[in-house]
Order: sequence, then C-alpha cells, then structure tokens
Amino acid sequence: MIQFIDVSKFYEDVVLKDISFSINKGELAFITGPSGVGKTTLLKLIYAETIPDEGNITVAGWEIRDLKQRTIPYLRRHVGVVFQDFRLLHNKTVFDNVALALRIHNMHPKEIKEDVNEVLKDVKLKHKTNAFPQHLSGGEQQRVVIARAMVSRPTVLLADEPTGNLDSANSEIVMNLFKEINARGTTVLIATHNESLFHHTGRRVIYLKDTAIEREVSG
Amino acid sequence: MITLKYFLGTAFKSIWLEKWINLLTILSISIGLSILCLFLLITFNVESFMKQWTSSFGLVVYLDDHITYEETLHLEAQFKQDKDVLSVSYTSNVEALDEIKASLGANAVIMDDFKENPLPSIFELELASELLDKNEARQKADSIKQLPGVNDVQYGEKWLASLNTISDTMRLVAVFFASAIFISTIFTTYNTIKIFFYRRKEELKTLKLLGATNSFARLPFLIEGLFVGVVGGSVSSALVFAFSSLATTRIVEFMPSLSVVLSPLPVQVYLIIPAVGASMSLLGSLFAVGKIRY
Repeated sequence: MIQFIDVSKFYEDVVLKDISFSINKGELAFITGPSGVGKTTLLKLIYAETIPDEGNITVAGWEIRDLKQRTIPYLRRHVGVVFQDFRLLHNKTVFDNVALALRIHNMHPKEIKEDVNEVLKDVKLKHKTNAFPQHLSGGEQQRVVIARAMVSRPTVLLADEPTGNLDSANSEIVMNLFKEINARGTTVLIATHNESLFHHTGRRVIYLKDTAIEREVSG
Repeated sequence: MITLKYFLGTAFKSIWLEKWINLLTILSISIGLSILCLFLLITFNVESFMKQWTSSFGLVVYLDDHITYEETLHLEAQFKQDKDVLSVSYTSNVEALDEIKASLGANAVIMDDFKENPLPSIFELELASELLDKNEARQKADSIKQLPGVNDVQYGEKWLASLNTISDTMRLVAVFFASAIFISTIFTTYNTIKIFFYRRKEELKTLKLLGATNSFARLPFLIEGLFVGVVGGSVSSALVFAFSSLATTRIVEFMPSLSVVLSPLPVQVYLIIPAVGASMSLLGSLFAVGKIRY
C-alpha cells in the first residue's frame, strides 16, 4: 500500500537518507524516533506535501514523483491525515469541519449529513455537532480531526503525533479509534515519539535515527 | 450544482464577514466607473450636439457668370444624381440680389450703384454625414470644382477641421480614461481579493491538504470578486442615470433650446456598466488568486 525505495529528502541539511520500507494493505504500523528525526517529513512525502529528492514512493498505486500538480488532490482524497496541529477551521462548526472532506468530493448534502453524523457518533462527539473547535478540549479537537480524516473512507490514514497534546485517558480513546479504523480495512501509519502507544501492541514499528531507518520491529 | 451552492455560501459568508473592505472596494469601483460614464455622457452629448449642428453642413457652388440655362440644368441634374448629396437648392444671381436688397431694407439703394449684378448664381448642396470628415469634404469640393460652369466651391473648411479635432480629441481622452479606469478597477479588486486570500491562507492550505482541487479553492474568491464588480457597476449605473436625468431636467429648465440637443445615454449602456465592472473585477480576482501551488 505504501512503498519507499531509497528515498532521500534534503532541505538545508539531509532530513531523510535512503529510506526504504513498505506498509502492507490493511496494516497498522508506527514510525518512531526522537523529535526532529524526520517523522513529519516522511508523512508529508506520503501525501505529497513535499516531493522526494531521490528515490521512489508509491501510495495506493500512485507514484509520488510522477504526480502532476493537478492530480495531487486526487491522491490526497485517498489519504486521510490527522495533523499534529489539527488544522481545524475555527470559523466552522464541528459538523462543517468534518463535512469539508466530503464537500471536496462533491457529495450530495443528504449523504454528507448522514456520513458526518455517523462518524461523529463513532468518535463520540455527536453532542458537539454545532460547537466551534475553540470551544472543545484538546482531546475533543483531536477526535474531530480523526473524524474528518476517516469520514471519506480513505485507503490510507496517516497520523502525526496524534496523542502529543493528550492525557493518557484521551490517548487511549484516540488509539482505540485508530484500531477500529484499521479493523475496517484502512491502512494506518502513525508517527509518534510516545513509545507507550506501540508497546505490547504487536504492531510493526519503524525506528528512525539520524535521518535513516535504524531498525524495524515486526509485531 | 451541489458544489456551486457551497461556493456561493462560502463566498457570501466571506462578503458579509469582510463587509467593510468589500464596501470600500464597491465604492472605489462605482466611483471609477461613474467618472468614466459621466465622461461618456458628456462625449455622447457633444457628439450628438455636433451631429445636429452639422446636419445642415454643405457646399456652396458658385457658377460662372456666363453659364447658360441648359448648363445650369445639367449641373442640377448631376448633383441630384450624386449619392453624397442629400439636397440641392438653386439661387440665381437675380434672386440673390433681391434677397440682399430685402435684407438691406432702406439702404438697398446702394446696390443700384452696380451697373451689373455682382453676385453669382449658386447651388447649395447638403452633404451626407459621411462626408463630414475634412479630407472627404475637400475631395468632394475639388471634384465639383472641375465641373464645367463651376467657378468656385466653398465650404467651412476651418470650422470642419476644428470640429474633427474636437471629436478626435474627445475620443482619445475617452480611450485614455477608459483604460485608466479599467486598470484601476482591476487593481482595486486584485488588492482586495489578495488580502482575503492571505487572510484565509491557512484555511486554503487545509483545503488543499484535504484534497481540494485548484478550482474548488479558488472559486469562492472569484465569486466574491464578481459580486463586488457587479454591485460596483450597478451602483455606478444608478448614479449616472440619476445624474443624467437630473442634469438634463435642470439644464433644460435654464436653457429650453438645449432640449433638442441634450440626449441621455442609450439604455443598453446602463446594462453594460455592471457587466464591465464584473469582467474587470473577475480579471483582478483571477490575477490575485493566480495558480495555487500544492
């Protein structure tokens, strides 16, 4: 589902060097490593926010380097992203924030309403439908982001430090949501430096260190 | 259709949220277009005034003293067949002398000092409006001068040249004004939309990351620009119409004779102005939004 072959990315310095790994369809895997090791850049390469300087990346059949500007949106519709900084629109309600992902797909309002309500029920935020993001707690905001990422039923779901700002109770809720999403067949890749998230989960973990893959631990 | 509803909703929500800056943009556009329209109104009236003024424009053909009656008839027939000549009027030298004597009244005796009639017979030719150009008029006069029995041809050459100069200058100024106002309208909308664009940069980035296409992200801005242009143009139409009606009434009150000359702009112009405002604003918005990079 996701394949990296000798991928390198440079900004002013080397960020990632000769990264190769693959994530299978329906897998839930973790990428970990200290802050600044390139976890976020690796995720950005997957949803084509940035393009690799060397090597090839394939995501759900799309070759990232060959993508034209106008085809990037269509790749992104297959990839749900839970952003580290949430990226919620503060002038829109919870409902509208989640619905945005479907409006982009040009879906009928009736279908949008049904799907959004269903997904808000899944993340236990049905009662917050008309609230604005700034009136929600960190954990609730995180769940809105997850709802937005999963509502369009993406093939791949990426999460960047999804529990970074959450307490342990909220972290557990969020992790359970990822497991549920994965159980429905979505490939999930979580970037985190919080080791407690993947300890004893039996899932594959890719360790990054000094711009490269240090080791892979299979579940 | 479904998405259009969303675009319209987003655009109008933004118009309302940014109402003051939008209002200022609408005002700028309407003032610019109103100045242009007022100038058009003046140009239109000057041209219509000149058209009426020149409708009686013609040539005076002075005939030889010894021209025969048959030659005169032949000339008259030739003029009447000429497509450029709208009407022909003949005044014999005898009739001309009588007219002068009549106008001199008691002083008509001074004309008796002349042993012979000093006046020539003339043809007055009214020319078609296409010949109001000074070069065309000169060519026509020259060709008539070559005809047998014609001594001289006169027409208001200098007057016609001045008229042409006024008309050309007004057209040139109109083109300059129109270009300046078009550019300023485009620039005004460009600035407004660019401000909105930067204010909503984060929102746009989120949209793009969620998979929005270029047109999905840009369309609300374009609708906003279009709306501002249409409203600006409509306000301008209303202002110019009100001014034109009021000015015409007031001027005619003071100078009733001008009622024949003063003419309002054609109705189509009032419909074209909002369309012009919309096109210019749309162009400005397109420049402002440009090509969104992913």
